[in-house]
Amino acid sequence: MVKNARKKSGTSNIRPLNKPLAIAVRYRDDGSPTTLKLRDRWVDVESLTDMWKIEDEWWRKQPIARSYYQCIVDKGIIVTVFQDLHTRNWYMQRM
Amino acid sequence: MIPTTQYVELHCHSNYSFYQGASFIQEILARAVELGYHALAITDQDNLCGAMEFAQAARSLGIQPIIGAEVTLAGGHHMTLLAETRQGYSNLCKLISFTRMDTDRKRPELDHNFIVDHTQGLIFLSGCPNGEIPSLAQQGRMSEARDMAEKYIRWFGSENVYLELEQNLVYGDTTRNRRLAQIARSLGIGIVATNNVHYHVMERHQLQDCLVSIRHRKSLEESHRERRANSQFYMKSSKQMIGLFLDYPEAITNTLIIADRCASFDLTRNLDYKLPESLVPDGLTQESYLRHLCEQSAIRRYGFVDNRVKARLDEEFRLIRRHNLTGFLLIYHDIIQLAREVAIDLGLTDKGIPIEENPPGRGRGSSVAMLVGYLIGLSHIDPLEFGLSLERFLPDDDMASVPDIDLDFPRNIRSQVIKRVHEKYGWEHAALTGMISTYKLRGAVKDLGLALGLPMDQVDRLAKRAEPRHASSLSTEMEAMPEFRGMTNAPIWSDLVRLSKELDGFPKYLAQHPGGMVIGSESLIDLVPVQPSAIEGRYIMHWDKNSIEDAGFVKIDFLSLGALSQMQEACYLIESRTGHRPDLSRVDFNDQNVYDMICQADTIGIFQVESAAQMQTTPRIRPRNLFDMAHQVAAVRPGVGVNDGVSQYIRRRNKVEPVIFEHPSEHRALARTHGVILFQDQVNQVAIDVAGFSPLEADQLRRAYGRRNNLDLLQAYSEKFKEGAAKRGIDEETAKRIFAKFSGHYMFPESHAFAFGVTAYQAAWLKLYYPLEFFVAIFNQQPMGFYNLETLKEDARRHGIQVLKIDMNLSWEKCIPEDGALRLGFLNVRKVGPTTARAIIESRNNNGLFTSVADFMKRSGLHKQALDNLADAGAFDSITHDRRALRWEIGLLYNPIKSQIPLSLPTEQDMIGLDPPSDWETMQREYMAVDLHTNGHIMANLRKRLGKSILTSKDIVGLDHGTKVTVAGLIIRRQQPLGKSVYVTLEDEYGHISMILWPRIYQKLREVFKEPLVIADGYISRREGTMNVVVTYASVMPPIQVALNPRSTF
Repeated sequence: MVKNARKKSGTSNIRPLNKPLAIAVRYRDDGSPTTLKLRDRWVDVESLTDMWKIEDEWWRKQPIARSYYQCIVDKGIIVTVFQDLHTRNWYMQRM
Repeated sequence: MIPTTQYVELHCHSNYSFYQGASFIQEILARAVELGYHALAITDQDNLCGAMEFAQAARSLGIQPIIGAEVTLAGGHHMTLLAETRQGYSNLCKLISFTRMDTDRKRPELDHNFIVDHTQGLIFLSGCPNGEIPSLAQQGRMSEARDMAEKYIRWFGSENVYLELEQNLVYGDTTRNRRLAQIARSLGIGIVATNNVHYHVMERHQLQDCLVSIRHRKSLEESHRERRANSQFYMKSSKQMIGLFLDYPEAITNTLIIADRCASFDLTRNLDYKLPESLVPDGLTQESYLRHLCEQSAIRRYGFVDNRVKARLDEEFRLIRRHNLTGFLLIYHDIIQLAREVAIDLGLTDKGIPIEENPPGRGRGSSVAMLVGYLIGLSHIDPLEFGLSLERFLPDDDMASVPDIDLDFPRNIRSQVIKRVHEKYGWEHAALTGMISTYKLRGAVKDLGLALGLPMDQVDRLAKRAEPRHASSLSTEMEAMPEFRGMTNAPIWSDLVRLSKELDGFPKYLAQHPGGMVIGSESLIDLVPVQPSAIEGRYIMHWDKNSIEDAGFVKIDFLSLGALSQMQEACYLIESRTGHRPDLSRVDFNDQNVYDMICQADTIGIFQVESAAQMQTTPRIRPRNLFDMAHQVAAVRPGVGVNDGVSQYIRRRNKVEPVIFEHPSEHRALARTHGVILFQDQVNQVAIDVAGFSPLEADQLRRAYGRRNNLDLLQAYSEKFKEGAAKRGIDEETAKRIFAKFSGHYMFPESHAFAFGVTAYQAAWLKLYYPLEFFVAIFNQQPMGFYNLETLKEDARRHGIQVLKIDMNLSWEKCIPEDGALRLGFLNVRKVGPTTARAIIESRNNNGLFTSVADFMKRSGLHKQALDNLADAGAFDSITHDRRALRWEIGLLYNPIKSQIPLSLPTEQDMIGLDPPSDWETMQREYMAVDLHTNGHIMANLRKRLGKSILTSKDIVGLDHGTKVTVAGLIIRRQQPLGKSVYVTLEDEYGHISMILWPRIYQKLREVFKEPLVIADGYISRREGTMNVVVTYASVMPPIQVALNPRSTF
């Protein structure tokens, strides 16, 4: 019998993909970010190319409400961040 | 500060976008006023159901209504269309109509080929992200998007095509808008900003989520893909919209330009509806032809046209001319002729019998007051004989709208008449009125319960046990039920309570009005969209009766009345038995024996006077002639009861209290009803006499009560009433008291009450003199009336008519008279349909009587469930009374269809000794098979287990007022007029027990009274000839458990 080379499946092996990372952000009164702290350094948001909102699961104990911003930093690097509108915390979704 | 009128919303869904829009038109308009909008478009999904309501309400608020729609194209894409002109509106109606003509009625889609010829006067917006152009742009297929845009430019013209930019802060909006703007620039066409509004305020987004889930029959958890991403689809201010479109200022400006372009079309004024003209013989005008028809009929009816008839006809024709109603009445004449042809075809009348002697239907409503109507066969009442006034139907003044003439037909005639009217005028010219089905408590609980993912067994129980009230009262209902008490604040359940309140009254779907039809000289789909009904061959328009009235359409009501079907069948059976068909229009209307029966509340099965509330009042009103009958049927109406009018009327009629008028000016209107408003017409007359309203204004006041969201309107009328009364020297307090007598609840017009009173009398006459035919007919016409077959069977027994069980060799398809008894028909048995019943009878006719169960099974080919039900119903009792053994034998003999061909093998060797069923089991199975037990009453079975202290309906007859009693029985009726005291009728083996529960007692015992069998304590109340048990306590009688344990007692 050929031995199964793969690891056993199980919930202990499940890990979230593309998990948002907490990030420090300075922002304007309207909520849009001005500066992001990336790799321990503050970088200016040069422009915002898009923003969108999601609201879901309002019937649960922890509803989802987020404002997303697509930012250009460091002359062309695209960073997507969002603010959790319930906790007011900021996260980076993608860079 | 930015002026608030810099933006106009051109893409907005009301809740007529079924299961999408989450706000009422009134809520949207109120918000638009707050936001300072001067114009607004409503663009519901594939319909114009709310267009007239919106246009009327918007105009009254000073907002320019723009009529539009979001139309679904073949392939599921959307486009937004706005009507710039009357021609554009007409094209919009046609395009919406076409969406359902060749496709699934429930999934409208417009074939692109229809668009090209119907673009004039329309402004095209490219639609939501699901539009053809926006979706291509979103996918980056720019060249295809541009080609598609060019196609629409060719169809609509470049000045009428706008690419729609929506910024709802959904991922992808920004990119798509940038690309759409780029395409628009390259093609030289405009862009326009919209917010694709689905609710008036942000907070309503949760309900919108639920609606989407309900639409897809999924829970919120399961409908993530279908729901919208966020709560940004609410009505926004100009400032907000300008902020969202800073990069595209012309998209904002263009909203104003488009609104201006649409300003010339006003739906409230620009429809030019006309009735088609009837064909008249050469040499006659429409009027001379109608007069000729009336005079010919008058000669047949009265023998000659005397001065009285001539004077009345002269007066009616003067008013008909004044209101331009000749063509209108001739159309009715045409329709009644169509109905007569149907009646002849169905063998219900003969060509030789004049129409007025055996009209195929009969009028109801105020039109009954017209002699012309009587003579051309529209009504069965001679207004001269009964002195009916013309005032409400044909006032000598302007009319608010064309009058309603409602026609009642027996069911079989009605369905054919509707079909023939469609055939005669064509579906483009004749369509049924729409009716919007709306959410009430049970529907809201079930649908929201599903969306919220609540346990469905609990949701079902709550929906089933809650009173059928407004959804907004859910919290009160839950608190009244022990199982749900205290849950209104629990997680999710609190959402259910809150959202039910919001959902209350929301439109669910477009349905068919019970019978209203509109006929137009020009194509109706130029005026309003029309779509096929669920019933083949019928078409429904998108407007309900209020919108139709606002549009000035003439609605002709073809209503089906079970009582007419019943009387028609009874007369046929009488003719079959006696050779003489009774002419119900010429029975003795002063027969005191008939009135005696009515006064004793012996009215089960009698049209209009059989309800528990009517049975409570007939012994007190004691009708003795047709005028009294009109008062009797009119008195028990919500509009009379709401102000304690019924009791007051009875007390005054019986001289228990004096007749008092608030002011002498009420006298003319109310003297004949002892100062109480019984009829709609009296509201008009009081407004005229007390406050100086014109007849037109008075009619508008009366109609205002029937409108939705009418508080402001009624307040305005209240002020006008007080001002008018003051001018006549009536002080404000008196005027207020008089105005308070009016209500929005339903009342009959006087002549309508008269028409129904006559029908009720005729039915009573049949019950008294021909009870056998009366009961056979009512059994055959079920469902109709207030009572089930078991109660009707008991009533038949009390009138000397025995109900015989089904018999395989004696029964026919329907019930029949058999030697003075009523023999049940095969159709009374569950799972036996017309085809099966006919097959049994055909086999019996062709091959002789059935000789055994095996013979029956072999020759009828029935399926097992029908056979079991026939056995349970007693159909084979002529072979053996042991129904359990019969079922065993059926089991042995039965071979399912498509199985091996059965052999006629003997079964004796396989029969086993089973105990025959008990009486209780036999009864139970009969109830399950035919809904009644021919050999007795359930209470007779239970009586032996009841203590002697529990009295029967027979025992309490002679008891004095105030005597304490305990009674038991089967609940057959429960009535709660306007949330006041509850009337319950118990039935036992001897008769009925009328019970009253005061509101506080009912609140405590309401769960008990949802069960079928109860034991109730109370005391006897005797008042003005009535006797009731006033309930003080009640408990549920658990019959089945008791029956299974023969030693148990209560």
